Order: sequence, then C-alpha cells, then structure tokens
Amino acid sequence: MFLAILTMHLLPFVQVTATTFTVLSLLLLAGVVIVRADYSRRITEQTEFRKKAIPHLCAYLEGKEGREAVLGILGRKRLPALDLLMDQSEEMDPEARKKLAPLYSGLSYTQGILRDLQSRYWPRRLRAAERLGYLGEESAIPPLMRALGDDILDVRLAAALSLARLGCGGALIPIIRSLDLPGEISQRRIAEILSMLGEEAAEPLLKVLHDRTLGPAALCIAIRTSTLLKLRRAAPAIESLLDHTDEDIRINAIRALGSLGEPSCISKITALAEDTSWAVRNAVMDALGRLNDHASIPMLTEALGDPEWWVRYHAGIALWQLGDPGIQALQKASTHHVDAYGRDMGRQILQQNGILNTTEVPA
Amino acid sequence: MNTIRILIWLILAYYLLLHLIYLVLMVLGSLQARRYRKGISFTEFRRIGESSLTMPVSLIVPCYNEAPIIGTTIRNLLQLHYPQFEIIVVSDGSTDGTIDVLGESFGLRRIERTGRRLIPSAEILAVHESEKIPNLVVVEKANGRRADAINAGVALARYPLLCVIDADCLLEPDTLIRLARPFLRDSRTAAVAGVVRPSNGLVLERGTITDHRLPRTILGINQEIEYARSFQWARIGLSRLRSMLCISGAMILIRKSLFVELGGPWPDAVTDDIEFTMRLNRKIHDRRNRRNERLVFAPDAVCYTEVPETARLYASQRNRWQRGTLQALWRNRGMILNPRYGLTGLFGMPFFLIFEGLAAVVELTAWILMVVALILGIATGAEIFWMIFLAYILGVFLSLCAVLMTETSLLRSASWGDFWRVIAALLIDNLGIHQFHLLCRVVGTVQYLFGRRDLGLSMRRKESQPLPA
Repeated sequence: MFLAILTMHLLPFVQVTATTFTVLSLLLLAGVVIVRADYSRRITEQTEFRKKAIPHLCAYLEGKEGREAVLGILGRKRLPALDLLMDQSEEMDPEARKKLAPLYSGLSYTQGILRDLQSRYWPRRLRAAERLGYLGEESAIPPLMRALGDDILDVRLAAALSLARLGCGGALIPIIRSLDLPGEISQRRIAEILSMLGEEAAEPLLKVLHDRTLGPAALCIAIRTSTLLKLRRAAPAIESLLDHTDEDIRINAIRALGSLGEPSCISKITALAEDTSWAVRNAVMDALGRLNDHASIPMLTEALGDPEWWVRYHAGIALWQLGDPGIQALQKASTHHVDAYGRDMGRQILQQNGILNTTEVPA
Repeated sequence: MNTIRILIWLILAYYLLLHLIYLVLMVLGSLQARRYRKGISFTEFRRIGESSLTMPVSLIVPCYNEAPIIGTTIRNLLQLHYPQFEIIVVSDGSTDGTIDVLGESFGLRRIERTGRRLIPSAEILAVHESEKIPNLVVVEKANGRRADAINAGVALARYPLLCVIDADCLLEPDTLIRLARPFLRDSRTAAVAGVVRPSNGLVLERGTITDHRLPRTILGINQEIEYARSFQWARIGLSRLRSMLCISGAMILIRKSLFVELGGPWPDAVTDDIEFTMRLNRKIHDRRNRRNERLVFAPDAVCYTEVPETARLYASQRNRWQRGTLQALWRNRGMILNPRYGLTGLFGMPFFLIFEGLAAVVELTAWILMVVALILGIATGAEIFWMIFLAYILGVFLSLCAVLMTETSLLRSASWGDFWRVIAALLIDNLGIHQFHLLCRVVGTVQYLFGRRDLGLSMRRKESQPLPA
C-alpha cells in the first residue's frame, strides 16, 4: 500500500498542496497588512493621546488646571490613561502621588480592576493586582490580601508590592506567610518589597521575629527586612535567633547584627566563631569587622589559621578594618602566627593594602 | 525508475515535514512570547534596573582587528541601563591598531592585573584600564581564536554573570536588564539567549540606536527575514522543547560558575557558539547530573549584529556555519536519540541533525533527482515545475508567518516602506538566494568531510557600518 502510494503520480498531490499554500499565503499576506495597519493605527492613537494628555496632567499637578478638565481628556481613553497615570506615578515621590488619587477615583477604575482580579486568566489577575496598588484606595486592601493566596507566584508578588505601595503594615505577616520562598534571591526580593512599608513594618516585623512557628525562610525575610530598614529595635529579637538550628537563619542574624552595628551582641556573635559551618564562621568574621570591636582581635588573629580560605580572608579584612591595633596584629601574625596559612593571609592582607614590604618578610 | 520516484516522494515528505515542524515551532514560539509579554509586570524592568539585588554582569567582548568599529561598540555598551557591570574587551592579537584606537578614545593605562586563569588560554600580554571609564578593562593577548579570547577574558571577570558579546554587536539600552530577568526569577536559570537581528541598517548617535532601518541590499534584507524566522520565533519554540541547541555567539548571558565548569567554548571549534551550546545542553540535561537547570530565551532582549552583504562574505560565513554545525554534531553525537537527555536527545538533536546538518545534502539530492527524473522521463516537466513551485510557496508561507509574528511584536518594521521591502525580499528569496545558500552549505559539508577546519574570511569592517546619524 505504502509502496503503491510512493509510486503513483506526483502531479495531483503537488498541485493541490501548492495551490492550497498559495491561497493560504495570499490570505496571510492580507492578514499581515491588516494586522500591521491596525497596530500602526493603535500606536498612533496612543501617541497622540499621550501628547495631548501629558500637558494637561502636568498643569493639574502644578495646580494650574482643575480635576474635571483633566478627567475630560483622560476619560476619552480610559486604559491608556491608566497606564499614563501609573507611569507618572513612578516618577513621583509617595507624598506627591496622592495628588493622582482623585484622578483614579474620577475615572472609576476600581470595580473593573477588582473584577479582573477574579479572572481565570492569570496575566489579567497580575495586571489587576499591580494596578490596585496605584489607585491609593483602602478598599483595595482586602482583595489584595486575598490575592496573596493566588496560585501564581507573580500575582502574589504583585499583590505584595501593591500592599506595600498602599502602606498597609498589617499585610506584612500575611505577605511573609504567602511568600516564604527558599533561596537568597527570592528572599531579598521580598525583603526589598517589605522595606517599602518603612516604619509601618516595624511592629509586625518584631512579631514575626518572635514567632517560632514560622519557617526558616519567613524568619530570614524578616531579618533581611529589619536590616534594610536599619531597625535597631529588632536587634534583641535577632540576637535570640543566633542559636537557631537553621544555618541560614544564623548567617542572616549575624549579618544583620553586624549591619545594625549593635555592640551588645558582640559576645554572642563571637561565640559562633567555633560554629561547625564555615559559612557561619565567615559571617562572624565579617560582622566583627563592621562592629569595630577591639576585644575581638585575639579571636580574629586565631581565625587567620581557619581551615577555610574565606574565613581566613574575612578575619584578615576584619583586622584591617579595626585600624592600627588590627594592623599591628596582622603584622605580627604575618611572621609569628602558629599556622602557615595564617602567616600567609596576614601577609596577603597587608600587601593588598600596601602596608608591608613583602621582600623583608621571611618566607 | 520506481526507486527514483520513491526517493522524490521521500524528499517531498521531508520538505513538508520540515516546513510543518518549523511552522509548529514558530506558532509555539509566538505563543511563548505572548505568554512572556503578558507575564511582565508594569514596573518589573524599572525595579530590576534600580534594585541592589540585580546581579552584576561582566560583559566580555572578544575582538580581532575591529579597530574601525570597536569604539562604537563600547560606546553602545556604556549606554546600557543596568545597575552594575564591567566591560572586558579582549584584543585577540589584533594587528590593525585596535589597542591604539581604544587608547585614543578611552585613555588606556597599563595595569598589573592578571586575575585567576580559570580556563586555559593563550598568553595575556597586557591588561589596560581606562582613565575615563572606571568599568572598562582592555586585555591584550596573543592570537588564538574567538573562543580563546573569551576564555582569557573570563580570568579578569569579577562578577557572577558573564555576558559574551561579539565586537560588531549593538544592544538596546534595556537588553541586559531583559536578559538578567530570568536569573532573578528562577534560580534554576543557567543561561539566557536573546533575539539577534541584523545591524546593517541601524542609525546610531553616540553609541545609541536612534533609528531601525533595513539593510540596503537584498541579501541583507533576506537575512533579516531569515533571522526572524529561524533565530527568533523558531528558537523560542525550541527553547520550550528544551532543544535550543544553538545560542548565537553574538549574545549570551550565563552563570560564570557554569561557564568555568564547562571549560568555556572550545578554541578549536569552527563555530564555538554552536559547539558550546550543545555541550551546555549536554551538561544540564543529562539526567545523571541531576542539575534541574534550564536555558531560557528572552524574546525582548535584542542584539544587533552585522550581517554580510556581499556574496563572497556571505558564502564564507554560511560555509563556516555548516562546517561548525557538523563538527558540533559529531562531537556531541552521543546525545542523538539518547533518552538520558530527555527531549533534547530525543527531539532536539535528531531535529538539528536531520533538518539543519543534513538539510543542504537532502536539498541538493532533490535537485539532482529532479534533473535525472526529467532526463529519464520518469517525471514530466509539469511535475518538476510544480515541485519547484511547492518548495517556493512553502518558503514564502513560512516567511510570511514570521513577518506576521514580528509585526505583532515590538520588533515590527519601522515604516510601511520597510515592510514592503521585506515582503518583496521574501518573495524573491527562493529565486536564487536560497539556492546560493544551499550551494555554500553543500561546499561546506564537502570541505568538512575533507578536513577543513579554518574560520574562513572575516568581515571587512567599514567605519560607516552601522550608519552614523
């Protein structure tokens, strides 16, 4: 049968196929022209709209034009107007953004956007979740809180960003619970969003830091957010996490205390210099350098002989950061440290900073 | 006689299957690109551009005798909107005064910096830094090949992401942000590729692209369509099927640790980018490695590269690509139809072998068979005419699909004039240019079998390309 097909005449089959594709190609060409024309028209319209609307919007923001007049212009194209307002909003500081709220309310976007937030189509929910953050309406908070439970991560992130934009401090704990993702980048990303809450985040953050029912990722996010906000009040709570069983939490807590510059925690941080994890020991050396504690010099000097290169390196850097006493310790270590690696690291750090003439140092 | 007729039928089936697969890939690519666009939030790129957690990037620009254009390329890279990046230009034994040109433009001074030689390369002769641009480093090394220059540049790269860019490439200001996005969203991202388009018609003003015009020659415009069809839409589809086996060397963003683990591109490769991409796929898709990593295509990260507009350079380039493809396939033949590599082994590699590596040979066979059939009276003149017309119209149809998809994206042609020039070029593509391309590839195949492994002619740079404003 197969052979019979193969040996039959080509012409009818080829003719039919070629003719079909010729017709399809002509239709496609017509389709391309129509699509391009439509696309061009829409882009021209949007450009024209922006050209017209921007001067009115600027005049309104400067107080030279009334709300109704601007609404009259913006109302002609509601969705491009929303994009324009969001664009404008990004260029303004949070206080100045409040001037845009009457325009959003005047154009009555809320109901439509809330409907989109219920859509089965996730990009529409994503768009809605991020738009709600710009409207500045408190009524958007409950639906956004519900959106934190969305199946799609991007929608949850957009909802979190909008809640942060709306300054909703009460959303901090639900945000952390819904986005307690593993991995440094994810955690930093969420901490960055939460830090937009500013002082509003302080009390909920303290609650999170004391909550032992939360997972490691949630605690790491809380610690990172406290660091970004320079929340010194959180130091005791973070200090209590130094003996947590999770390595990431210990590392984040040490880094946070080092960044916050909390001298009362030094003894507890120093105690972790013997931790079994080299990453924890490394964080300890880094933090002690930042905390500028001269009493740590003997411990840092000893750490120059740590089996792990990074720990030795950060111990050396920490000594360097401590100024003259640390530099003297490095100079001594470069010749008299009991460990050959310790002597070498002392030399390397001094050399890197141009202090020591290496030719004078015995090998 | 029946044998010839059967062969003609098989080749016809091959043609139809090839075009069908490409059509499916392009539709898949278009859907993927649409999904990608819909998933981008309003402030996403702005946030990436401002965020402290955006990973810094080392841009490595290997160059050999690129004095006329290297300044423009660097000025273009300096316009990138990205929080933190460094540019490492590696002059691969240039003899045309590339270093002098860079010195005049950017005020170079020699420094004592060697870096860690993570991958072996030819000797580094000198390292210079710019007095004017703090994030510009220029490396002078003994001549090797492009891959060797890249490997030397890695020694001086300080950041966790490497972006390798050809010296004739130009980027849009937000290209790097768009390339970096997948790394910030998914820790499994191993490397990201972007769209590559011809730069020949671009208009520049102090390194910034101010106008997107088409190349001036038919050959140039033809490549515009070819790039849209194969390097853009089909490649997005292939990435969805874990079968993106060729990331253009013009632009790739990759984790430095993985790049070093792979030992960088192979310096003896005819086309180091194809060979490197196959090895990359081999590493991350081998089930035994349990890496769970992925290659991503960013359909809005655009890089423009110079394409040859003379027949001689075009022939040399296509000849080299063909030899490089065959070499890479041979070196990685263990992946073909190997279930250990999942879809990459079962679909990607056989597809690449049958429809890329062997396409020219099959097509030449088709032409020969048609002539033989005509001489022996097995097929009539009408049958041959319709066969040729079918091949022509299938090509036109596929190109029109690519144009349709391009016109609905941000990469649409700038004016109606350019649009109609593209349509005209795709209509005449199969009336000579395609056959010339076929010939170059057949010659490349034969030369590969006879052991030719050199890189062929290099592009002769003119200062006027791309067009200054």
